[in-house]
Amino acid sequence: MKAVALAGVGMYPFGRHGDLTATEMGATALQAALSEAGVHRGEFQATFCATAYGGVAAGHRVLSSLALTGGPIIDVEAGCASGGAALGLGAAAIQSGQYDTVLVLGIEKMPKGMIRSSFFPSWMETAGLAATPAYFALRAQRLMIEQGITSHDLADLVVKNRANGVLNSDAMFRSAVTREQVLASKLVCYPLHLWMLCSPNEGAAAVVLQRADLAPPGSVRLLATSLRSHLPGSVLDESTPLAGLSDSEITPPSTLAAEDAYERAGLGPADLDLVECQDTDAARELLTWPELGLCQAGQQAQILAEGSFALGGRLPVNSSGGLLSKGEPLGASALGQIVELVHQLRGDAGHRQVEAARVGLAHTIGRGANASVTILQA
Amino acid sequence: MSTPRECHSAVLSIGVAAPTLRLPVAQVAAGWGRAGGRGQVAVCGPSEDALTLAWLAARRAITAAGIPPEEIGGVWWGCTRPPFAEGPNLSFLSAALRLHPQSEAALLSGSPHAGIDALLAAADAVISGRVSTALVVASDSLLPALGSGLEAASGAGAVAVLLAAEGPASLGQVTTEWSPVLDRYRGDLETETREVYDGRLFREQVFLPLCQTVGSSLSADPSTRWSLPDPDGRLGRTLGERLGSIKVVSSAARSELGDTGAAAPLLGLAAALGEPGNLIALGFGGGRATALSIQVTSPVPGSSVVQQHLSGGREVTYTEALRCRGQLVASGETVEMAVPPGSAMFVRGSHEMLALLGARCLACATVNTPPNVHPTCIGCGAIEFEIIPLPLHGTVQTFVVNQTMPAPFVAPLPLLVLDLEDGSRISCQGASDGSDLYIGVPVELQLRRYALERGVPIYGYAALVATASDKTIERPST
Repeated sequence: MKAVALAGVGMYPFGRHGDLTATEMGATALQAALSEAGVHRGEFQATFCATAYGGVAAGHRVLSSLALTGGPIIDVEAGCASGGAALGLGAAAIQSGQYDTVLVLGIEKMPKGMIRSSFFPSWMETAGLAATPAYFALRAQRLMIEQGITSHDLADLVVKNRANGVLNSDAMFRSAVTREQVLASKLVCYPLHLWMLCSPNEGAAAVVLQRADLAPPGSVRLLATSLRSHLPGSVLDESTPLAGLSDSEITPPSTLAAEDAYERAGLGPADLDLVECQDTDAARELLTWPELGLCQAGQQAQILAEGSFALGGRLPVNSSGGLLSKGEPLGASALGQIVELVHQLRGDAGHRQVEAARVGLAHTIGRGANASVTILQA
Repeated sequence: MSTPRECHSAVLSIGVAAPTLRLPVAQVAAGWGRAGGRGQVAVCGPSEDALTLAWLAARRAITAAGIPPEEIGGVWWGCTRPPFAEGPNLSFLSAALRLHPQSEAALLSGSPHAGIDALLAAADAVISGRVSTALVVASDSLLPALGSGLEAASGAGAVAVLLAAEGPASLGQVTTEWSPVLDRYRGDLETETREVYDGRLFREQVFLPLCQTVGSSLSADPSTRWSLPDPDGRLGRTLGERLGSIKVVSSAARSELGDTGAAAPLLGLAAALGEPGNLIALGFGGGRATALSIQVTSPVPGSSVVQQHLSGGREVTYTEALRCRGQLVASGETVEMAVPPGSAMFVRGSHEMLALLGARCLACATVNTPPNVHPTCIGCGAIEFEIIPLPLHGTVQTFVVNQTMPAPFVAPLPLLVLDLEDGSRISCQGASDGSDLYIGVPVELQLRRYALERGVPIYGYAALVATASDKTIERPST
């Protein structure tokens, strides 16, 4: 199996960008990635474009605008894990020897207001059961009772990620917040306040994947990438049938993806130097830590108090500021994490640089349910 | 002089239901810049209507009798104005009550006399031997014309009785008399009921003469307890005086709920069914008056909790009552939901939503809910199921209270995941404001109106914290 490297990365910062189209944002990100990699027209064989709201042939529009068409262009949708799914397809094509160089792109321009999603069975929407943050809160309620999480812990998680966001010039929110401010923000649905929820927004991220022996010297290696869906009967996961079997005895998709990625990378949670993980809402990140094996269930409050997962701690999680600072453009968000890890592993992450970072893990979980886990090495 | 006929059948059990809101009449007066106004009327919350009240009263009557619903011969429903002017009123109610798929049903409607009409029609079915048990439901929730006297008088409520040949209370003599006159009125193109009469003329030439005639035709003694119609809050007392020194027991329900229309005659007597003796129910509406005597020999099951089920309720302002009745509506567009009420989903899913059915896997016994969206078992992937009714009691597995909801939904809206008594799990709306919910609290499910989708009511089950239960988990301190 051929080794895969990340030869170049590029971003269009996540935020709200007025009339700018997803195509324009994608083109900017892609040009940056191609420039870093030194890859030009005719020097790549395929493109995988992640987007959930991009519409028909969204990737074609980006490549058309840069006059880069001709090869296969495939749009990929897997909810919040769309970027992880696209990355996995691109990596597999190189590992198998089919291609040498592949572009992976994520673009999104989310509609404003309540997220209307064709994901839900229509009867649920008619019954008023499809309001998105409610699902996060249903899960947060169980997390609080089962793993000893309090409202203070949820607020402290936001404080941690927003502090990192201050140092990220590409973040949407760049001000530090206090626990009191988070708890004073509008209550959306208990226990989740507005600032505990990431903001749906817009942006783009791009990665040039290349066979490692062809990539520029010093390129970050892709050790493993894995995509998993929920097992039947999983109640409180993003699959949200909200009916049926118990959730406690069924392995969640994040764990399935993580275990697979650890095995393929030949390492475990103890070998990680930093993690970017899905913080759609504050509870989601706290739930994810034990699911990825970063700690035991019930240890989250102590970790927050000790700052173990803050910048400068034992294992910085969401050094980029996470989705709580950056916002979440669905198709682009997973690749945004990859861009952060690449900068960290190259040692060019500026003020938020994690010292001597060698191995990083990126995790997403979202509708489907879909979970992706990617492990990179300097 | 009218001659009573005999109506030989008996009451097996009783159930009543009141809506969750109470509107002080003084608020209505103040809304129109007037002083005064005494008492209160009951108002349906956003998720309640004449169908959900009918369901609740009927379910309580069936539970009190201890009869399996599928053994009931049919339902006779009296309602001035059912939720569907045309539509599946009876099949929706029958499905939600889990009656036999071939059970009889009749809807008596068009005036507040409809409750008495339903009772008499059901009694005829029992007397003829066509059915052995008949369910009678009377419910009303009037939409009063703005600024009319009906706003201060009309309430909402429901009552249900099970009839059979023999029982602890026997129906006896019945007298009806009519006169072709208008009192309240609503035309085909109107949404609200209005008054079309001169108060004094109506009282002296229509209401009092008809009611007096039928009331005095029945044999009564000083111990006889009476339920009298009281459409405006004053006529009842006047009628009582004209009938002589009689004992009126309907004032308690009247002052709690207001005029409950079709439900009023039986609702006024419901609590009195707990004590042996003679009762007379007098009903009026649409120019017809009927008096009916009931002989109680032993307390009727369900009568002891009547008072508990009628009392309580949350006081609301006039504005909130108007919003709940749909008479005060925000401008702008509402979110149109994905499923039109005529779609295949409702054709296939309506019965399982109304009867709260689950699909139990024949291979691994996992209950899949709702059956319609689970063609394969989420537990094992098998495809053969047995359709089962789900219990209406359970505990909260997790919940959330949505503080913002797009119209037509109303915040705060609780959403819950429930573990039902048989181990199955469902998700549903909550019927309260959510402040009383916590993980582990026992809840019961009630039929509620989820939404008015493209003008059509959509019904489903909503959870309420169970009133009388052993709470196994203490509410966590926050």
